[in-house]
Formats: sequence, structure tokens, C-alpha cells
Amino acid sequence: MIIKETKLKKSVFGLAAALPLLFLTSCAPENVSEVNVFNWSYYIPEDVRAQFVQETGIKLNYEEFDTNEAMLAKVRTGVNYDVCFPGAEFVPVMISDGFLEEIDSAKLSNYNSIDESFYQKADSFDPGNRYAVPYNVGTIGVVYWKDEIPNPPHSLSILLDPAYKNRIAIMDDTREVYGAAMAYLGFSGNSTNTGQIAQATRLILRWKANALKFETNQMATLFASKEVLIALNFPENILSELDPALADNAAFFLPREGGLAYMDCMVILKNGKNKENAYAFIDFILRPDILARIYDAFGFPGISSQAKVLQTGTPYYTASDLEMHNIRMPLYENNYLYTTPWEEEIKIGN
Amino acid sequence: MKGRAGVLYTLPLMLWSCIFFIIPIIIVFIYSFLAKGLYGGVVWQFSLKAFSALFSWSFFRVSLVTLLIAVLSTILTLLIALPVSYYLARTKNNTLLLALVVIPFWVNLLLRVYAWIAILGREGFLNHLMTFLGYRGEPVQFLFNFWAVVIVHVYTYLPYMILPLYSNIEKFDFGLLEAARDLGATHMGSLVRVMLPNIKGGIVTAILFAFIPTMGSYAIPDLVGSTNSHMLGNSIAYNIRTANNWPLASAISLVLTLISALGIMIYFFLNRKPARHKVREAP
Repeated sequence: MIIKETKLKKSVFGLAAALPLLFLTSCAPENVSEVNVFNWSYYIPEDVRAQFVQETGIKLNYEEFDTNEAMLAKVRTGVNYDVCFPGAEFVPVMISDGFLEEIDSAKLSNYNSIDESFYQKADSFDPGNRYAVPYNVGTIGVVYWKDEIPNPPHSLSILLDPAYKNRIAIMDDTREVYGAAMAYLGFSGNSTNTGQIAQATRLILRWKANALKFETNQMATLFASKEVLIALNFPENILSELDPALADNAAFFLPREGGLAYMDCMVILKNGKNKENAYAFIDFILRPDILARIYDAFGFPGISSQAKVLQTGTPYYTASDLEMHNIRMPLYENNYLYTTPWEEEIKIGN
Repeated sequence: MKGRAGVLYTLPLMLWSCIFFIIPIIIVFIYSFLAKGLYGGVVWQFSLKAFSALFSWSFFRVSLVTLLIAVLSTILTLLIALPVSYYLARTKNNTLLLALVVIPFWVNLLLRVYAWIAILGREGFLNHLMTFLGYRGEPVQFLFNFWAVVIVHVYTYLPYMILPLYSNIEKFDFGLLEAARDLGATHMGSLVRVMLPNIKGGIVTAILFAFIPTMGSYAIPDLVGSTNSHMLGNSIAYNIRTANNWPLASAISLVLTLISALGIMIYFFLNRKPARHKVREAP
């Protein structure tokens, strides 16, 4: 018994002695060059990331998030990321909370590969383009099976078609779905008019009555297994996941009513430790051939004319299709105008 | 000396429950009385807004749906768990059977829920089986409805019910059943009137083990539910993740914690009586 106890004590002491060593080894020595990137899932293909490491020799620590809110919460906890990809509506709060480093465009040789018109659009949420470099714009639309729905109307009216009752899944995202509903009614998804939002709520409730469920993570699986025939979602999240044999049968349309487009940007975080590597990473991504590969991988139309000429794939929609769309803007303290009816009237229901 | 050592031994456990249980609950309690931050978090300013939001039809409705799902799945789980644990307790070589009850614990909950999706889906095992057996209609929509949520909860919490029931029934003196039957009780009558009162403690434990986690369920309604199976757990998640209303999420969590505490108090209340009974019997 005594022997056992001393053995136990020894091993406990051993463990305690070893702990600091563990911490020491997990702290990277300063001379290892690295960059910490925090990005959306489905946003930079793995081979592009590998190429960055290969070309620059910089170690890439890559982490993913799936909502802007989750991203901001993690940045708030003080995790040291160097580069982050917030949506447009989250850039102002990151600026005002002092998380962002001003970007010196002179340090980015490929700064002008993004079209000037998108810098102008970004000016509305980042005056003077001081903190954010636009990366991509996109929107939700309707993904459907061609064999089941040969001639879909290119309109959100399809969501009310009783022929597809319980065969429709709607993305579980407040602003995107409201954006589509508001556009269908002829309003802007950035509106704070409660009367308009109430009309949109009633419309979404009618969609809900015809839909199987609201979904986020399982959308690709639901669609691939034909559990649903129609998905109101980001096309890339579904179509890039499909088996190539099935992909020919799947198609996508943007509703002609328009909608709300997200714009995601690259920013440099103030408390990141690898500023130079952050510039190197952003400059690498901005290279037209790299942008072309990224846009092709996810079927994005892209926001770079220089990349456009190098793109070989067919995007799910074109940048000009998005002209009807409003860029999703921050609502600040008015955010609840959408989130409260979404939760109380749509998700909980009455 | 011995007594002090005892306190020392419980120190890790006390620290553990302080850090991971008591302090978080205190934080949740404080947060529920604060104002919400614009992008999540709280503003240090006293506010009863979160609690006033609880007095609404929508909160009442989501509580009702949650309660309904929890009560229904607990009853169904109990109805399955009781005969199973009785059989386990009365079977001589039950090691393999007990292992079969425990093994699902080794697999992550999400994977087990995905397995149900593979079974109940339109292209799933059950629909294929029905087609194989001669069913010729449209595939049946077993998944993504209220009952799918109940069924998956029953499945998930069944082992949590079987184990405490089994350990209780195993200790039961089955001679009493024979005595009851000798005195004229039917087989069913002896089980209901003699065994059930004696394993009451185990039944209450089992009910708590299924009811409390179901009340706080989040992933299951999200994965196999429909547009009408939004539960309190989903409301909490939405208020944290999207609506940026941490005080409201905290207030809902507090209500859930109170319901669980109430359940545990009922447990202690019901378990007190048999103890007294024993003391009376002792001499």
C-alpha cells in the first residue's frame, strides 16, 4: 500500500514536472515564420493554402468559422489572428472596437486586382478603404434537381408551390432569408421599416408552411439524398459538396426579384503578431491566378476582372446578376427588428 | 487528522464543481439581469428586459413544446426501460446484454443521431425495407417532424434510464413477488403493487436522467426536427449566436436550471419516505 502511494506520488510529481516542458514546447520559437488566418468554411481550397506555404515558407495556421457572430466572439476573447475575413456588416464594429489595423495598400502589389467598383462599394462601410480589402461577393438562391424540376420559374414563387410541399429546405439564416423575402416584396433587405419587415415575416411564414425545415450544416446532405428537391441556400455550400456524378443533375438560379448580397473582406487584426506575413498572405490571395482558382473552386463569379480572364469554370451566377442586389449592411441596434420576429414568429411560430 | 484529510480528498471535486458548475451559474444569473451588448456580450447596467421577454406568448409556446417533447419522450423511454431492466436483473448471464446497453455511450451523440437520419430518411433503411416488403407508395416522411424528435430522444436517453433501474431492481428481493402471488396477487399485480413501490427511487432517478437533458436539448431538434419542433435549447443558441441577446439567453438558461433543480428537489422528497420506512422496520 505504502509502495503504491509513493509510486503514485512519484508519477504525480513527474507529471507536474513535465507540465512546464509541455508548455514550452507548444510555444513556437520566435524565428519560425507563421501566419494565423481565420476564415469562413468553403472559402479557400486546400491546394491554394498548400501552395502559399510552399511558395513563401510561412507556416499557415488556418481556422474556420461559420457565422460572423462566432468570428467576432472569438476575436473578442483575444485569440491572436493575423488575417480575418469578416462580412461587410461586421467591419464597422471591428473598426470602432479597435480590432483592425490600417492597411497600407502600398505593401500589397496586387491591391488593384480587385475591381475598383468593389472598393467603391466597400467605401460605404469602410470609408476611405482604410481597413478592408474586398474578397468576394455572393448571395443565396435556389438550388434544385433538374430531373425533378425541369422548368423552374426563376423566382422565389417556387417556395410557395404546393407541388413541392415538404420538399423544400430554407437556410437557417435571419438576414439572408429576410433579404430574399424583402426583395421579393420589392423592399431592401437593409430596411428598418417595421411595416415592410412585418410583410416579409408573413411571407416567410407562408414559405415555412410549405417547407420541410430550416437548415444550415446538413444542407448538402439533405439535398444530395433528395430529402429535399429545393434548397434556398448559398450554392457553393451544396454544389461543391456533391458527387461529380450527381452534380450534372443539380442546378442553381438566382431569383429575378434580387436579394441581399454579402461582401466579405480581408482585414488585418491589430493584436496579431505577424503583420508582415499577414501582408504576404493577403497579397498572395490577391494574385489574379490565385483568385481565379479560388473563384473557380466554389463557382463564384468573382470581383476581379484580372482574375476573370484566367477563370476556366462556369460560375453559378455572374457578377452582373448581382446588380439588383443590395450589399448586406450593418443594422447596429436595429438588428433586433429582424432577429426578434425571426425567432418569435417564424422559428417558434404561433 | 482523519477528518481534515477527508476534506482534503474532496477538494479536487469541490474545485471542479466550483469552476465548472457554480461559477458559470453565477455568471448566467448575473448576465440575465444586465442589458445586452450590441454585438453580443453584456452592458454592465441593471435591466429586467430579459425577464420581461419571458412573459410572452412565444416564450410560453416554446416552453410548452419543450415540455411536451420532454414529457412524451420520458414516458415512452420509461415504458421501454422498465421491462428491459427487469429482464436484465432476472437474467443470469446478462454481461453481454448490459454491454449492449452501454456500448452506444462510446459513440458520439451526433453520430448516433446521423445513424437515425440514415434509418428514417426518405432514401433510408426503413423506407427501403418497406419497398422490399411490397409497399408501393411515395416514401414515407419519417424524419424531420415532431415524432422523429421524440423517437431520437427516447433512443438517446434509454441507457440513462436502464442503468439506474437495473441497479435498483437487481437489489430487489424477488422472494417478495412469490409471497405476493402466494397471497393471491396476479403476476402483473405483484409487479405493480409490490415491486414498483420498492424501486420508486430508481424510477425517479431514471426519470430525472431522461427528463432534464431532454428539456435542455438542442442538437436533436436541430438535426431531426421540423419547422415546429423548436425547443428552449434552440432559443438559447439563437439568442447567443445570432440575436446577440446574451441576457435573454441567460434568463432562459436560468429558467431551465430552476426546472432541473425543482426535479431534483422532488427526487429528494420522494426518496425520503422509503428511508424512514426502513428505520421503522429495523427493530
